[in-house]
Amino acid sequence: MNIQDLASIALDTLRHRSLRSWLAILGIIIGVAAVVTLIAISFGVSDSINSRLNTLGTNIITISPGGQSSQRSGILGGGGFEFSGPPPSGFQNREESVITFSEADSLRNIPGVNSLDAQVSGRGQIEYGSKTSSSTIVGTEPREFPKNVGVNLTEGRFLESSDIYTAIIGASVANRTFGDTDPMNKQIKINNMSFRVVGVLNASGVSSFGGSDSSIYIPQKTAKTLLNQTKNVNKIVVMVADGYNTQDVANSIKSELETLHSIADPTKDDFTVTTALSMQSTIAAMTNILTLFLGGIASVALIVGGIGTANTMFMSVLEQTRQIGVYKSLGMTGKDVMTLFILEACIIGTVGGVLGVLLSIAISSIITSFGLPVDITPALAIFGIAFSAVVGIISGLIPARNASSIPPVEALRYE
Amino acid sequence: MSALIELSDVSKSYDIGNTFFALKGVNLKVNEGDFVSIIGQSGSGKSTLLHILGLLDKPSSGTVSFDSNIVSGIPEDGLATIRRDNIGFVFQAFNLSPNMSVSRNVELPLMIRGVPASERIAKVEKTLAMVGILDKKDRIPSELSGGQKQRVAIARALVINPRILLADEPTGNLDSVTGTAVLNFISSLHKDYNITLILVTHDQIVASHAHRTIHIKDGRIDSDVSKAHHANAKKNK
Repeated sequence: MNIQDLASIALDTLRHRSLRSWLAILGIIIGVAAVVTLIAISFGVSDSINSRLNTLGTNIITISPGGQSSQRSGILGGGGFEFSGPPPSGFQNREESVITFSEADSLRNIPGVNSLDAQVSGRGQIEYGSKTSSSTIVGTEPREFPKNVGVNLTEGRFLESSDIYTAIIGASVANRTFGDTDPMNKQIKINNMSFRVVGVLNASGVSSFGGSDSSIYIPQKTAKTLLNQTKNVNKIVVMVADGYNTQDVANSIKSELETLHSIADPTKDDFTVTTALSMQSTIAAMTNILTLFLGGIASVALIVGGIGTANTMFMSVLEQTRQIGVYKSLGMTGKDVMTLFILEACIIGTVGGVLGVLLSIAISSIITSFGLPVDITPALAIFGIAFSAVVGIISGLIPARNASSIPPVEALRYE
Repeated sequence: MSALIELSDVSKSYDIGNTFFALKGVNLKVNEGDFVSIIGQSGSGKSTLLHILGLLDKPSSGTVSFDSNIVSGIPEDGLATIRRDNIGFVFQAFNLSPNMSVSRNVELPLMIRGVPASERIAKVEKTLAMVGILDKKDRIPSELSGGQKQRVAIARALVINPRILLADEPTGNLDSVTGTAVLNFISSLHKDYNITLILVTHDQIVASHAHRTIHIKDGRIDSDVSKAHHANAKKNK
């Protein structure tokens, strides 16, 4: 029998017992809406993290002391470690887990390294008037800093080579320390040393993990004294020259440092080289787990919807037993009867899927208004509908097979 | 005349604790153009016989031939195809689809047969006009009287121009006036279109419309009488 005719018979049946059909559809709607919304949330989170990573630039490489296994910071980039001085022993894999300024200088000669900023950083006590607070202090090379900070100035200027006691402050620091007062040319004390604010950075959105919003940038030479750290760097930021592949340059830096540190086994590196690409793949791995986790939880709702559909289909077959006998007496084959009931279940699944996706779009717009990024892509919508159609078909399989195997005489005798 | 349906030594048994025979060694020939009534008390095996004649059921032993081909061994889907193309059924309880309009009910066998949608409407309306309920074509079965429902059921059986029409107690759920009207209509089909008719009933008056009456008792043919051959009363026994 042709499939359109079977579908039109299935629709007749569904319309006839519309309340029960709609209840089964409702179960699917809730399941699909849960799956699509939760996956969309994790897509949205992933997108927003990636777009922030992209502002860091794809041609920037950061190098920090400490191996991959001991690395706990720096993923979201910006300020790097917040220890004052070299990381305490015991936290690191090995004692010699440092990068010296002279090692940093030798990296400048690697082909593809356009510029290199050897930074020192640590926590500092900030005083302005009666206000005191604590911030990440980053000592940066004045010429290199504008290229790698990733954000522009709201006002003022960047650091200059001749600067000594000058500072550029992040957006959150400006807000916290000065409130409504204009910070420009104000004197602040960092660890009891006086600095003049010459610039304020735009907000980057990265305020945690030592991001630029919560940091204060001072000349590297001054920072060495202020933080009492003359020998070792906390972070190196490299800009890759045009025409060079960032990953290739990162690999060259890695092998140069391995040579300098006499490391034969790359898995035992006592430093970490990070590119935007490698950060993205780390984040992608994390958000994929998030997607699977949320999708998995939501699938439970869809499975419950599927069980509801299966129940409706068993009832439908039972109710229509005599009708199945009539269909068969009129010459419908077992295969046609099976297709008929699978179509019935598939229609429940598909209608539930379409309405579920529409519901998830509505829920998403509410969630978005609360500031959580949600991203329902066309592919996700199609996936939601297709998935629920498949759930419908699977729910209908056993009832449909039961229906097709009833002998016509027995079906006709059914009261 | 060649036999349209032929049963040879057909038995049907059910295992219900002990073996119960609904039919025992039945031999029967129904020729093209026959009008046969099968009469017997309830439990006599007449419905089982009708189901086997209509290829809805298979015998436990013996052979069934349709159009000179032995069909008792072929699988259910093969029998479904023979029914689809040759056999119309009318049931005591009408068995209309409650979900469908009158015209959809009558269209159903054409859909199963794969008749294109464009040809179906004309056939459905012609058949509904023939049974006299074209004006009810958009109603659903629950809105019809018993007699009207049975006319829809007859239209559904006739729409494929079957070679054989099997009716199982077609007047059993109708009052006597409506029953007589339906019976007269069924009888006229035989007269006007020469359709082979097999009618199962427990009512002697209903059975008397047929040209040949088969009495069935305890799963065996008790008598097989043709109006034209009263002299040879007992045949096939």
